[in-house]
Formats: sequence, C-alpha cells, structure tokens
Amino acid sequence: MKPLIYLFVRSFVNGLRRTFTSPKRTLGFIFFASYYFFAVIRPFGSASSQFVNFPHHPKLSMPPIEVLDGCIFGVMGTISLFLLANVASYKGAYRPADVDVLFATPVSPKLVLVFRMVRDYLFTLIAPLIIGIFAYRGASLGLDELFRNYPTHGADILRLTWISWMLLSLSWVSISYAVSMFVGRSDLKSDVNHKVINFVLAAITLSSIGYVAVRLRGDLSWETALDLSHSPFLRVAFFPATLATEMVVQGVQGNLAMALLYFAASAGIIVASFAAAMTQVGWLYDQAAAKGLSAAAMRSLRRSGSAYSLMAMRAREGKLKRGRLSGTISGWRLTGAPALLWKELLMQMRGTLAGSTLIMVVIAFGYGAVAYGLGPPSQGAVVNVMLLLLSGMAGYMFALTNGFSGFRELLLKVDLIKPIPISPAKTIFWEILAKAPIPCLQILIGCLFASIVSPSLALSSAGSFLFGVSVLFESLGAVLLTLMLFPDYEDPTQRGLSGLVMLLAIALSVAPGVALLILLLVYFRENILIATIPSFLLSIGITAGMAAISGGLYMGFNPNE
Amino acid sequence: MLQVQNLVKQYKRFTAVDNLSFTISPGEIVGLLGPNGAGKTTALRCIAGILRPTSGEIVINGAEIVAQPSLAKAQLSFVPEVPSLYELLTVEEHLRFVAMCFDKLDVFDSQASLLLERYDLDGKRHELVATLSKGMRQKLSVACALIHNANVFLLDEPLIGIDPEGARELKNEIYRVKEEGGSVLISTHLLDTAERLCDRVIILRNGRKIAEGTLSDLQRISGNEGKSLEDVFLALTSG
Repeated sequence: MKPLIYLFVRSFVNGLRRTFTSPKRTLGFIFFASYYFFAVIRPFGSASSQFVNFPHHPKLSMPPIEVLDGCIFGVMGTISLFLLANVASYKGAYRPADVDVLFATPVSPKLVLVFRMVRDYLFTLIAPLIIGIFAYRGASLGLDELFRNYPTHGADILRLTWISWMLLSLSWVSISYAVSMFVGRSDLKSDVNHKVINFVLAAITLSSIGYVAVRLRGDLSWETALDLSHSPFLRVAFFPATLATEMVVQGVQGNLAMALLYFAASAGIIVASFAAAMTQVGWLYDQAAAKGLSAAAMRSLRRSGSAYSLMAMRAREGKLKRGRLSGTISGWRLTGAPALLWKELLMQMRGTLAGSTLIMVVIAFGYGAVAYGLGPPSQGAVVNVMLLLLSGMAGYMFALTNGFSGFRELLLKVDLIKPIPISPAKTIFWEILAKAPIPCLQILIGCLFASIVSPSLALSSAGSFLFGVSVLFESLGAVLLTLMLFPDYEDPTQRGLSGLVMLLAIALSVAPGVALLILLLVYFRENILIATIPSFLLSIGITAGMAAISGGLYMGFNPNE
Repeated sequence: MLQVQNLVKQYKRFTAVDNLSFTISPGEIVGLLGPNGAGKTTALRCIAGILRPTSGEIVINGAEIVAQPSLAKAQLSFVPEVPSLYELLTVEEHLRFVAMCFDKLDVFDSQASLLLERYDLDGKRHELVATLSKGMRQKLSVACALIHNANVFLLDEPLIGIDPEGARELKNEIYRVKEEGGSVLISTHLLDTAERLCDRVIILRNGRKIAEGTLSDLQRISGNEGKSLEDVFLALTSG
C-alpha cells in the first residue's frame, strides 16, 4: 500500500505546488477555491445559521410513519434508479501511467483495487460529509422542531437518514465495481454476461419507470404516489434503497434492534459486493489496459476540449458513419486561405451534423411558435422583441458550441496550421468566418419558418436574422480571444477562470451592438430590419478588432509554453 | 530465463496473439519483429503481466506470470513504446516510486544517482515529469526499468525518441545485462539495430510466429542467403 499512498500524496502536493508557479495558475486556483467556497460551503453554512435564528418556526404535527417511509424511499429509490442505469459501465479510472508503470511492478492488483475502491468510497462520501459538516446543526434543529411529536427526535431522523444515505452510496459503489468487473473482461464468455446483465438492468429500469408511469397515469394523486412507494415490486427491484429506508423508519419508531438489522444487511451488501469484485481481480490490469486506456484517452480529449478528436476516436470505434453531405463538401476545390473554411465545414458536417440538425428543428419550432402565438394582429412589439431574443440566444449558443470546439482545435493543431503559408491574421479571419455558415443557416431557417407561419413578420424576421448573425460573430470573436488568453484548458483551475472570462467577454462584446439596437428601436419601433443594420455593421467592426488582437496573439502562440 | 508456451490473447472475437511459443535463455538477446499490428506489443504486455493471456503459459525464472505474478514481476523489467509516466511526480520521485513498488528502497540512493547521471537526467532530478521532453521521458522510463536489477528485460521500441548518446548508453546497458546473464526481448522496427544487437529474432505476422532463429537460419528459411535482415524480413512478411 505504501507506494500507492506515496504516489497519491506526492502527486497531490506537487499539483498544489504547481498551482503557484505562475500568476495565471494562481489566479485560476483562487477563482476555483472561491467558487467552491461561495457556491458550496457558504450557502450550507449560512442556511443552517439562518434556520437556527429563524424567529417563527413552522409548527407541523407528526406526519404518519407511512408518509415518512414513502418520502425516504422515494428519494433513495430515485437515486438508486440513476445509479442502476450506470452499474455495468467500466469503473476503473486508471491512467495510462498506471498501465505502463504500476501494472508492470509486483504490486498486487488486490491492493490496487482496494486502494481504488476506498478512494471512490471517500469521493462518494464527500457530498454527505460536506452537508453533514456545514448544515447539520441547523437542519437537525429544524427537523427537531418539525417532527417534535415523534417518539424520536428530528435530529435522530436526520442522523439515521444521513447514515443510510452513506450506506446506500457505498452499496452502489461496491455493486458497480462487482458488476462492471464481471462483465468487462476481455474473454468471450464475458461478452455474453455483458449482454445478459445489460438486458436485466434495462428490464428493471424500464419496467420500474413504466410501472410508475402507468399507475400515476391512472390516478395522479398523493395517495397513489404513497401507495407506489410501498409497492413490493419497487421495494424488491431497489432493495438497497429499501434497506436504507427501513433502517431510518425502524430507528424513528424506536425499534433499535430492527434498525441495526437493516444496517447490518446494508453493510452485508457492501461486503459481499466488495468480495465479489475481489474475485475478478485477476482481470483488473487486463481491463484497465484494454478499456481503461481508451476511456482515459477519451477523458483526456474531453478535458482538453478537443471535440473533433473525440469524434475521430468514436469514428475509429465504428460509432460514427460518413455522411453524404460531407462527401459533397469533400469534393469542393478551395485553395489558399478559403481551404480553412472547407476544412471547418467538413469537420462540422462529419462531427456535429446530427446535433446541428436537431438544434435546427428545435429552433425552427421555437420561431414558429413565437410567430404563431404572438404574431400580429395581437402583439406586434412583443413578437419583434421575442424574435430578436431568439436569434440572439441562437447566435450566442452556436458561438459557444461551434466556436469553442473549432478554436480549441485550432490551438491544439498549431503545428499543422502554422506551417501553411497563410498569415496569422488571415488564418484567424478565415477561422472565425468558417465557424459561421452552419449557424447562420440554422438561424436563417428559423427566421424563414417564422415568416412562413406569419408572412407579415418577414421584415422583422430578416432583422432578427441580422441580429442573430451579429451576436454570433461578436461571440465568436470573444470566444477565440478568451481561448488565446487562457489556452491551458486542461488545468481545471484555468478552465473555470476561462469559462467565466469567456462569458464576460461575450457580454462586453455584444453590449455596444445591443445598446445601439435598443436606441434605434426607439425610433424605428415597427421596422427592426432598419434598426439592426447599424448594429450589424458595428458588430463586424467589433469582431474585426477582436480578430486583429487574436491574430497578434496567435502569431506568438506556442502550445508548449 | 523466459519461457512462453502456446500464448494466446483474444479480445472478444479478435485474436491478437495466436499460439506463440519461444524461450530466451540467460545471456541471450532476442528481437521480436513484425509489421504494424502483428501483435508484438500485445505479446510483450502479456509477458509483462499487464494483459491476461487467454491461454498459454509464461514462466519467468520458474515463476508463472498468472499464478505467481508478484514473484514473476519482481524479476522483470518492462519499457513501453511510448511511456506514459506520472506527470505530477518529479524525476527522482518517479524512480523512488518504482523502487518502492519493487521493494528496493535499500539500494535506491546508490542506484538512482548512478542511473540519473548515466542517462543525463541529473539536472532534471527535481523537475516534474510533466516538463520533460519526449526523449527525456524515454530515458526516465529506461532508468525506471533498471532501478531494481531485474534479469528479464522487455523493451518495446526502446530506441525511438532517444538521442544518439542515450541510444548508445542503452545498447551498452543491454550488452551489460547479457553479460550478467540476463534475458532480453526487444520489439523493434529498426532492423539494422536488431541485426547487430540480437542473437536471435522472432518474426510475427497477424499474431502468429512465422519464423524464428539466427540471421543465418532466417536467410536459409527465406532463401535469401547472404542478404541483410531487412531483405529477409521483407521476404518473410510480404504476401
């Protein structure tokens, strides 16, 4: 165990030290730590203190034990349903270095598995522990007040629920390891096992959802929901949740022996699953080397934001097929800088066409609904604003999705793009332009759909299209500039900071155009096309300015720094 | 001594290594050759105890890799083709970690200094692995393989990415291992190096052994008397 602890501690300490080696990393770390302090720790702490000091506590009488039982099983069962769906997927988050260095040493795979499971247990316990540490006092006092007529104190209910939640989490971690290791082996027999287990899991999940849906559809009432929570089928299907619930319920009723029995049964599941996982330990390294490396490569690509490389990997695994449209674009003959446009279109077609088409349909329906629901003669000004908002949102969203993956690719493939005889300024110009055609088409189709639904909105739709394109270009410029300034996207602290700065940059770049549009709309209330033209021209200027700065940064950009 | 008997490795329905058998005696250097996708790396990973063989037996100085993995691995060193290392450890910590895994901390101080100096890593001793160049990583990987005095060495393309000085040092190291009675299995595409370095070669194609022997054996088998290993290899693997 010593080498594993050494590896964990040294990596953690060195990682922390590295955080303070550059101002950017330090700033990112401060942002990261502040985010968690303000978003996670402080709200729980302040909520508990507010609850304690709340002057007028609501005074509820004791709910029947069946209600408490049903509510707890409802929560535990829902958590179990989500965890069940993921139970057979590969769990060992091993790094390529584990395979190349650790697995070739005499360190026992049993030790590696125990270490990994204990680490996962601890991670699983972080959420209940944080809540326990920061919100326990307030919540227990509150529950004491709410359930003061129970034979047991409200704080005891909380304590028991907390313990049962932890047991439930640990049970699922153990079950997941046992099942995923059993079905993840590279032999043929395990292929059959995988299919059988997947079938059983799908059957349990779907039949449970179907059962609940049918019962609620027949009679959507509180009584039915309560009755469902006591259904023997659900209680058996989600037995870890049943044990966790019964532990609380028996404890609340003062049946300590029964509560302990359910506690022991939950602990038994954990121990049995742990032991079952241990029987598969001989396959641990094999699974990690065969599956873990591909999972690790995917994780690394996802972390680095390399969306296109991820798709290429999925294509290599046979999960993405070649489309006809991309074949047509592939035949285009563009030379010089416009070849960058060709490359980008081709990659978008091969990578994100299915998603883009779905978004296009959703957007078209959104525009159609706005035109149909709010169109003239009912509310002219409102529909104009709604169309503008829709196009603006579409432009912003497309810039974030297309722009982010495309520009990350540009920065990751510097060694490929920079040697091409195209100046950095031209490269940046064409790279920004290349991200626009498909989003523009998507916004255009939405606006056309609105015009078809309500022909009198044709000019407003045209104006809204121009506005959408303005927001798209400004946002693209802002996304690229932010990525140039914070390119170290694999570092989580940098990623958080970069995300925040990106949103700010988009807001700042869009703001002048929006302000001008609002000003002009005061004069051209009925004709938003005329009002959007100056705003569109301004957006082109702003984008050109950001592109020029990005071009300068790109010229000196070195991914190894 | 390394003995591989009827080694088979299947991934579901795909057979990566098919019934491979060979023996490497003490003091022998054997080259494992084959075109891309021939199963060389899979075979090496099975021998190193990283992949579990579907069937067959791998015995390292009397210890079977599946039945007695700790005993077998304690006598084995493996250098992967593109070494993935722990990025957040320093060079010295990385070596120390490997020494801890092999329970060789008692000789760590003397061995580490020697290896770091020999592979030009002394100046990088306290730097994070994340900051090392590709060649430096390869050197560190080799140093890690040498830290625990193994007597069976598995080297997967060990000379790729190393500068000439490092390559010379590594070749000398391999000869040193041979002189001390160690067994070495090298997978490589550098046929001229294999010709000079190896006592024997094994040629794989589609997971199967298609030839084994000294250069003169292979020349005779392929009907290319007096030709280089490159000519022999191409004759045996084409078609």
